[in-house]
Amino acid sequence: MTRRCAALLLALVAFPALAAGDAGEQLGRLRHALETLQYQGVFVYLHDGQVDSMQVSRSIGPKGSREHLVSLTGDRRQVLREGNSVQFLLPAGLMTLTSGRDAGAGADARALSQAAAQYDIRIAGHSRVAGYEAAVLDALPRDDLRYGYRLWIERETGMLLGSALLDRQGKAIEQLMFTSLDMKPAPAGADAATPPAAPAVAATPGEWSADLPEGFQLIARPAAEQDAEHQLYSDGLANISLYVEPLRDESADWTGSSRRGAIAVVGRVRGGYHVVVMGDLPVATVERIADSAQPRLPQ
Amino acid sequence: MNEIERGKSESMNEQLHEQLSALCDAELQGSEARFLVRRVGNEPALARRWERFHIVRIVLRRQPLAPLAPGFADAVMARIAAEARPVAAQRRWLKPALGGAIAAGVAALALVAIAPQPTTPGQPASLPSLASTMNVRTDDARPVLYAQPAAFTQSAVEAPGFQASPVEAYLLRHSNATFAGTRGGFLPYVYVVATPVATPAAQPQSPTPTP
Repeated sequence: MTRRCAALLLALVAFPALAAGDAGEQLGRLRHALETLQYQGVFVYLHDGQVDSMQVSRSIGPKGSREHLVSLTGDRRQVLREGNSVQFLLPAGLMTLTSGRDAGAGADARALSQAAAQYDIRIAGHSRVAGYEAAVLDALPRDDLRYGYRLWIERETGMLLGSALLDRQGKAIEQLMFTSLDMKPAPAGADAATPPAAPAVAATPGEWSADLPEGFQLIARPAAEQDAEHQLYSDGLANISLYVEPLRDESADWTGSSRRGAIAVVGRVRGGYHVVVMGDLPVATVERIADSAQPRLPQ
Repeated sequence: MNEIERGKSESMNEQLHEQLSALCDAELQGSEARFLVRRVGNEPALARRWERFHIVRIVLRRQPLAPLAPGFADAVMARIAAEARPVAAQRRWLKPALGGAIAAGVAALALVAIAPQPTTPGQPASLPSLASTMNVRTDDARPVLYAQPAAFTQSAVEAPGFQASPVEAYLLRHSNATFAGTRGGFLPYVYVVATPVATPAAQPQSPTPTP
């Protein structure tokens, strides 16, 4: 224990907390690398007491970028993104989702500065992952309402080499780590990003509101059916989706609490409406958000 | 059929072939795409032809064929015929919205839905029939969504027989909405591809009073 404390102290001295600008820069490099590099690799994903192995590739051709994520263990599950079209090939069948070109709007410098405000972000050390030198970036929450993150970032490109979600005790809830990775820059003149970054314009408030932890901002309202609503919030690192739709006659609407990896999912019935909240936050936080959801009062 | 008529027919056939191919690759836009979608919906032979296009496309990409059941086109037509069935009986988040994926929309016309309209919470909402949703013009509906630049559109299409759990259905949409975030890229999809682990069962909950 003493040795661990000494190591922690040494790390704090050697790698002081980054200024907000530096933190944003580190996270910005990460996002930029994920959006612009071409890569192919295999990583392991530890979650819920089990290990999955997946292969991921991203290439850029004349028609834009193409990303493919496929499971190497268990059932055959894969996701293929080409441009704005995403195909999910799951045991449940084939599903295609298409997003408009500004999907993910708001994930910009504004979101990065949000992260700097809600998390204590610092370089925790250096390591070697999949043969690459990595900077280890810790983003620890300033409250008990969200998880912490440890990110292994390749020093030259900014590519993500590993990621862990940490609870308040610093215990990893889930961890992802590349075991092999090949990278190369985008071809000259290619439109590498998918999709093009959206302007930093706030989405208009929806018909429903909820009490969210400090720092979460509405970044998008993906289109839904005419009588349903989907609001997407982010604090710069964690994301929350709020879904609201009228109750159905079949009473088949799902309620309760569940988890999928680090994603907590909570369903509630609120005054004739089915409310579902999901996000990479502790279940208690997501339950609190779902319980607070209510129709927005007319101005 | 004389030589000229035969030539015209072959030319039209070739044009249709190119249009279907473009539709399959989501490269056909605007009114041209809408017209072809409508036509495929009305002509079983054309629907079967589109089915073949779709299968070839999947094979070329070395994707498993399993999700596309035999008689896929017939199933699509059957679903169109069953348009009287209320949308409420289906999971909304798997088949909502509109947008640019008209090509994919042909695969499951019954799944195309319309954009959210301003509604007052608490009031019963009318449920659009499949017929009404099929006739929505994407371009017309889009401005209704959000009259500001951050708005974005999505459309969802599932092959017949797609049976996701409720949690998985929400997860697909959530992951797709967050792919451009700081922890974006392939990361949000890891939750979708990972082997699901048994989680605490959903607890039945009696409806609560209006908040």
